Amino acid sequence: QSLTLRYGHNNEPASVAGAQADWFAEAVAKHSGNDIAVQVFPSSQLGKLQELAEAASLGTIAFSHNTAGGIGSLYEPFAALDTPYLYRDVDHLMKVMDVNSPVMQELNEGLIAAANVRVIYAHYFGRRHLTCNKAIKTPADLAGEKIRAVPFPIYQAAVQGLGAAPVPVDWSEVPTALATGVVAGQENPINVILNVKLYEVQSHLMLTGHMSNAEVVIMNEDAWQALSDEQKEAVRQAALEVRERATKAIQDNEEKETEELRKKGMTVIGPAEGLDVDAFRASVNKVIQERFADKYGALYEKIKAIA
Amino acid sequence: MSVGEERFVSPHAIDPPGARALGALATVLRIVATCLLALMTCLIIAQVVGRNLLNSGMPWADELARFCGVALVFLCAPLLALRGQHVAVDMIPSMLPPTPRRIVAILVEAMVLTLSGFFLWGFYAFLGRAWKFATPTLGIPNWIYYAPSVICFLLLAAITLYRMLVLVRGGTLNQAEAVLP
Amino acid sequence: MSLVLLAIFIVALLAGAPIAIALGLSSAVAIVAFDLPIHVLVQRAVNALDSTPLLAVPLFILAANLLNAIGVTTHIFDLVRLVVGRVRGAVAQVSILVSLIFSGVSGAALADIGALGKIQVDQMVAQGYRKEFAAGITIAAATIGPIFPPSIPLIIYASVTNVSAVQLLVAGIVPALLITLFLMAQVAVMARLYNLPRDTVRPSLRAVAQKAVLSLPALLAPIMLIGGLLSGYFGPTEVAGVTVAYALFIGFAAYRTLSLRAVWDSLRDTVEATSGILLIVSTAAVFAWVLTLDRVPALAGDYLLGLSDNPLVLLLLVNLLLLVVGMFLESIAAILIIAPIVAPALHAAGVDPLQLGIVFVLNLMIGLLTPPVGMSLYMVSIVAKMPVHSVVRGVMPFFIPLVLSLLVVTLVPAVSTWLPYLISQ
Ligand code: NA
Ligand code: NA
Repeated sequence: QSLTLRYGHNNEPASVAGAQADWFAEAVAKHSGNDIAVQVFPSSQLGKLQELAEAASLGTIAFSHNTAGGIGSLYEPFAALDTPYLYRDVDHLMKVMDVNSPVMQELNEGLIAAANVRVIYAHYFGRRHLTCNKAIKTPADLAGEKIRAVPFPIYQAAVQGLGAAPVPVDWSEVPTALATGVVAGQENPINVILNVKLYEVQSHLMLTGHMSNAEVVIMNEDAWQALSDEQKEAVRQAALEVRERATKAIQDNEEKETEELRKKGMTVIGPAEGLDVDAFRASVNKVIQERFADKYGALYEKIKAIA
Repeated sequence: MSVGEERFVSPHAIDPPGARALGALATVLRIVATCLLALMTCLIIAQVVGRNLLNSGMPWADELARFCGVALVFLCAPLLALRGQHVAVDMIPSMLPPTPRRIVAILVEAMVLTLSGFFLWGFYAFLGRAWKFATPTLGIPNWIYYAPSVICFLLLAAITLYRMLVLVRGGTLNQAEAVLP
Repeated sequence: MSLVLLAIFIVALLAGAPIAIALGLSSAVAIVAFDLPIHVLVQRAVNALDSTPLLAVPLFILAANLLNAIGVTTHIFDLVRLVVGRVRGAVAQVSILVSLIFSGVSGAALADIGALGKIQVDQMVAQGYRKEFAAGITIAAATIGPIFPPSIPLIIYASVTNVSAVQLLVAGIVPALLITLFLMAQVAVMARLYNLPRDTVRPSLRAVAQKAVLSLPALLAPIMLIGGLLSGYFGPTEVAGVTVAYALFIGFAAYRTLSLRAVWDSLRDTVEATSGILLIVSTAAVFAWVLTLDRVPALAGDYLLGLSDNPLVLLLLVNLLLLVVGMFLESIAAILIIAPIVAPALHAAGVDPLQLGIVFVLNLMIGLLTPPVGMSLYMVSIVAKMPVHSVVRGVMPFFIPLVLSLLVVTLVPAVSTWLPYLISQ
């Protein structure tokens, strides 16, 4: 073994996003014939989310992962990839997120130049849905409601587009804030809602699917360039393998975990139960057009063009 | 404090040039920090009012309040150092006779100085490459976000040098405080 | 790497370097000596403070400073004394109750001693108590402050272990009442044994009513604060902000004893206290980073879980560890260094995170009373102008109720967990 590389992230090791880092470490060991060891530090042990992105940029750690919005703090255009209702389906998202897609190649060049990190792979992380303590079927049902939002502009635009007032709540306080009514609801992928036991404090799950997220794995550019050709190939192979495996794991779980939330007593409201997804889509798109069309319009076109 | 340490040195006889400016600067920074605390308090109360009465969240206020919270810690730290008020365990030094105690006190100042040096080197290495990355909501660039801590360690280094000088010249750290306005 | 880190930390600490400096310097040397990038030092030190829950620290200090500046502590003291003054050992019992009431706005034991210590000791001595007994009960009762919400150590514990600060603060309510009860029982026993004095004059109803009216706005502050935490209208930081607003309101509108000058002075004192506490939080974060990179938390966790997988045994082990650590280390530093190491392992073994938090902090608050490093001992010796060793003699008997409380909190999870889980149903 000739090389040890550090991978720091903010997820719990038991979650899929956390587990995929361990899968990546195993895959790199396998494909490199145990030449490269990847040491994983989960649960924000090495720093907060934004700090980890900066640490990868500066080379303190070799790898980290983040949402596209989080990578946006290093290179602004990345935030566009978290735009609500942007992808037709998971397959479309995975094609856009492929490091060889024209969109990703262009973004990656910009990211390397701006922040000295490159995207090595990205996997599907789930569709974000709304939870609340009452049934919500149209944007009008959310009028005057306060919903916890991730403090990034595009996430706030999403919550506003859904019809609610976005409120920042520290992640550690979300379950309590929901239980006591500081906010009426929140939005997250199914696996997060299940893992954090939000079913204990929220009665309704609305399958708004207002945002499809990818978890983007980045690598420090100097660490990448220091690799031999064989080592680079091993990382590429591992990236391909884990990208598929993690995406599949999340997709398989989405159905199962929705069912589990139902069993835990949540009322699930989808189109069949009268959820007007088109109304949400139209209302969210209106806010997005107003705020982001100037900045990301060209990028949106390129993403649409990917078949 | 032993009597031996209090011998015949008038408070300002040992002040190097500029020492009074250090005291004044540390005090000004503490005043800035106090204003930031007032601002932070207003921002937090405004968020409660905004959410409960006006039904609106203010993510920018949350981020600005956190920035104030970070800044006030660093901006007040040099003054505490000048007064020797940072929490320390002085059990062993206080048992020593005057001369060894003075030597240990000089060593402690040397430690503070070394750490300030490491911090300034760290800022140089970090901000040289990461100055332009910005906070998510307000887009505060790192060079502003880190400015209070840079100022803190610059002034801390100067204050520590001054305290060392006072000790080396036979004064006491109580006398070092005499430069405060 | 961790050995270098610990060696430098201990040498610097013993030499009398500020704790924040000892933590930072040892981390910086380890980072450089082991060829890690130096910018971690500044990045971690600054980012560790960038946290909404931590903003509650200055806000709670400010609220307590303002209430102090208004001058409400004397009114509360007088009121409680008028009500319970004629039981045996009354002023000692009054001291405990006033500490409980004051703990509803103050977040730190040392703040309690600073605000109440002198008046408590003076009143007891004036009634013929031995001074060391008076100092002992004063600092023993001050452990209630950081267990009852608000609490700076609990907020810091929550922030380093990613536990909900609201839940953890609420978890402290019942244990704090338990400590109060045990301390009062101990005083009652001692009052009989040593024939402690009591007030003999029966107060007029009018005097009580008068004092009650004077104390009412101040008594409402902790009730409002706990109500705010339980109701969920505010997060912990916002509760702190609202308490500050309330203190300003009663100071200017009800008592009219607050001036702009006094507000400024409170702000200034708050900034100084906050800077002292949070600078330690800042450099301790770098220290923890170095330990983590060296896999110390993971190894320590494996080791702990290898000793036993019984949550109760693990909790008792942690108690033993903390009793030793609490003798030598300042409490906030101890939380910052030890909690990230042992908490994940104990959570994995099934110990409730809220119970662990309360056990952890209560244990370290008892550590404030143990020499050689016992900040409460030093604080009361300064405030009451008496030698540390006689304070130690005075506090000795009160270890019985305190350790008993610690045992109950360790053995019965429901004491800590019942109330917080009740509100999040
Ligand atoms: Na308290
Ligand atoms: Na102690």
